[in-house]
Amino acid sequence: MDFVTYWNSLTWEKAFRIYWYFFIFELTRFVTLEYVVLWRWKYRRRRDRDKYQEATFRLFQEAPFVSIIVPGKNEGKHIYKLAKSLQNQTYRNFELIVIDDGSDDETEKICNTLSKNGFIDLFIRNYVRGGKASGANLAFRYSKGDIVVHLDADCSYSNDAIEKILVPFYFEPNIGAVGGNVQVRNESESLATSLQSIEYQNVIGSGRVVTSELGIYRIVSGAFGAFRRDILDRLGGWDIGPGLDGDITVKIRKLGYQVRFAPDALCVTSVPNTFRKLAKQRRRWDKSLIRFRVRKHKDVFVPNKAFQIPLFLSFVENVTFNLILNVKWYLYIVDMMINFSNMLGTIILMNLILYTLANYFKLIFFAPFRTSFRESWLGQVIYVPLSAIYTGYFLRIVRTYAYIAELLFKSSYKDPWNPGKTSFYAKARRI
Amino acid sequence: MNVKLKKPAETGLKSDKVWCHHELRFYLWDNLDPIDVFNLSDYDAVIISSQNVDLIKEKVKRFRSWSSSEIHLKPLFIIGSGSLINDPMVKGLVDGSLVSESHIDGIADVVRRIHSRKMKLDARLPSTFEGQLVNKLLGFAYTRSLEEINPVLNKESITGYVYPMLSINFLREEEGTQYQILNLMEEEGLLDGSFQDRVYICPSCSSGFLNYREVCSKCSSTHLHADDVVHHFPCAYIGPMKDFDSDGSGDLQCPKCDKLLHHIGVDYDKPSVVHTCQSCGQIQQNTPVHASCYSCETTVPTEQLQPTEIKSYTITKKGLHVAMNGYSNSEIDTDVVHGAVDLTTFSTILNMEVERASLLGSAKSCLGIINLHNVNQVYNQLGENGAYKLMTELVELVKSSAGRADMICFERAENLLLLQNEISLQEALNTLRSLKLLFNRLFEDRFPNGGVEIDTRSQLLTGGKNAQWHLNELHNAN
Repeated sequence: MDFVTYWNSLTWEKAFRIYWYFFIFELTRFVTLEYVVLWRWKYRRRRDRDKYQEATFRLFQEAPFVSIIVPGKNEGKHIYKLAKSLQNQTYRNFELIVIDDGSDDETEKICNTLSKNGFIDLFIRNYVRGGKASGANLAFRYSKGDIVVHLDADCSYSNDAIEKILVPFYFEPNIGAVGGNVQVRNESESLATSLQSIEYQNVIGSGRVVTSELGIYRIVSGAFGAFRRDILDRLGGWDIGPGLDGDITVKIRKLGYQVRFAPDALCVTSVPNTFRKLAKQRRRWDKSLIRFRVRKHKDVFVPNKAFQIPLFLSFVENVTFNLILNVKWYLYIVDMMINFSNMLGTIILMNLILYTLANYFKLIFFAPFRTSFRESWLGQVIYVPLSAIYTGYFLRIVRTYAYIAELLFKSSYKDPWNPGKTSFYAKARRI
Repeated sequence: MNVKLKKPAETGLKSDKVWCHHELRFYLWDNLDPIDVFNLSDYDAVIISSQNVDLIKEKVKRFRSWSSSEIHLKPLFIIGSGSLINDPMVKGLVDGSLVSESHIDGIADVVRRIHSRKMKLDARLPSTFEGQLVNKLLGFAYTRSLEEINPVLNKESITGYVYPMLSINFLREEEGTQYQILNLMEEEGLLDGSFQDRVYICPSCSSGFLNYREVCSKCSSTHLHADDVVHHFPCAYIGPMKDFDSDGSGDLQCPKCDKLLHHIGVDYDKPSVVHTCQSCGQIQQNTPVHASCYSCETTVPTEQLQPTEIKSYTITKKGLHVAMNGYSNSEIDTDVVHGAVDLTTFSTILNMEVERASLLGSAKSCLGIINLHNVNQVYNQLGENGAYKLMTELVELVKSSAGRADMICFERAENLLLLQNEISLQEALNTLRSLKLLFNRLFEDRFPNGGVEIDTRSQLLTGGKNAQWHLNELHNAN
């Protein structure tokens, strides 16, 4: 009853004073701007249909040799399924290289068997774990392809995924890398996976279409990314992670190459099925923003000879909407607590309603722009209200924790995701 | 000590080659002696005299591989230095050594013991090669009181191991067959094997002299180059050693970040090894191992090599029984063939006939044998009932050509004995010749692919000798 009274008493001025954060940042950036850009992308896509077909034709005519590399630890159980799905690809001129980064399960046995039976072209086992970057680099060292496609073993790929991720190299000049569209496989497994599924659709399905269209696309996903061999040669492959996907994307852009997102190049992956596991994964991802954007590649902000506006904007957008606004959100809460303390509960509820409405808008109106395995988005309708809590509170708190841990303690260098022997040097060299 | 020279006239051999010791006669077989081995059957033992180890080996092998038990079971010694029989192959085939002629007393008992045990053996020669080898091996072990038949490591053997008394019967390239014989004997309960070793032999020629090589998984080339994979921790570069030592100086420098590598385990490590095929360029880590045979040049993956267990064998009671009574690889009971008498009855009648011949003096009787080589294949083809029918038919054929009073016996499924009374040797041979023709015609008409071969022999009965002696003589006659 109080809330109805409050709603009726709300004027535009008052609403803007209290919910400025939503109107200025969330509604403008993630709804309005994205919606406009998506229409532009749709228009250009329709306009360039013939050009896209021509690029596809050229791809098959030239048929560049592609090296599909799959580094990983204890991933043996996924490899057969992956190799089988690759055998059904529309683009077939590729080799499959699997690197076992010091697995302690049956991976070696499984991969040796698959290798003998022709499912894998090259299998190399490192008896000592060296980390994701060294695994990828070893595969790259022995690859022969003109284009290198980096995959995660636990992903599944649509039959034309390899073709679709290669076409952009023939569609536009100066493309250095192309990222694939990673979606959630296990969305119905738990509440955590359902919420991540909505998030992936927004952040990757449509969000990366937008950033790619704006020229500020910043992460070619390690789960599905294609790279030109000559560029990887110049870079010497991947650097130590975590966050090596974003790092190499930045390095490619620094060399002056374009990076594109291929929404039709679909793959699905299994995401963490509990909030605890999810928090752990996101802490690792979020720390990399500080480590790579703020520290390692801070030169992007410096207006020197190598200064690039799109790269600068990409960093600004990334840092602003993740780091600065994260801080700003806490300031906003403090502001509300000081100035509107008697209505704090109502304001939080109102915020949730606004975010939920925005999310429903995106679910419905962004649907025509999404490319997905999913037949219908209707199943997600019931999760949308929770999605506001998930992104607005859960992810924000995790992110805050990660930023603080990284800014104050450089905790990413202690992350067991990477072997200590490599993190030690990464920290010493500030990379 | 009682050594005397035998008179040359009695042997037709040079007198200085024959030593007599009491009732025993030893033949001294020296380097240049061109004597044929079969001429040595008249002596109780043979002593090889040579300083040449290779020549000794050759003589021992020739002697022991002889088909007649009168030769291959005969006591055999070496005179000279004891070091001459250090060769494990020779050691397993001779009965001892003596330093000089004056030591002959020391081996006389050995000779007597061997002869005494040899007399208990059934001297009949099985028709199959396998059967002959079984008899030979068991006979040798029995006469030497050997409880075990042991494998001997031998670099000259194609499989690396020999069972001396068995291996000498094969050409080097056929030595693998010895394991089949031993397996057969073990399966039939004649030997009891215990594991000693396992060898892998060529599936094509049974040779154990194999060259094991890592080969390219793609083109099978042996031209592979192995390189350590080096991981530089600071920059995550990883690649073969050659990437880091491009100038060949030995100093390792990272091709990605140009830093010098200092300490393994500190700033770099070597997590694996990668092989590069120099023929086709294939990169691989798990190179298959192929074995190339030195003998027939066949190359096969090691998984296809034939694993062969090397065993020590003890002779079972059944084996001892077979050693004394002879081996037959047919399971057919020859005692129940219609129209023929069983072997015991035949031996009794044979003894009586010998006695009658001795008493009458002028009585002439002949003992003949018809060997049916490879007939077991035909029996297997026919099955048990068919085999009995065929044997009955053969007996009828013999009856149709022989006299009414003549005795017929299937000694084994592979040979028939025929005791013919009041007949000259020539007549007996003629009868056997016509039977051979009839048998040949029968087998050629009905079993053209059977491969059965017939041979016949006959001999006059000798007074004062028993049935066993006559049967031995018949089997050992060439």
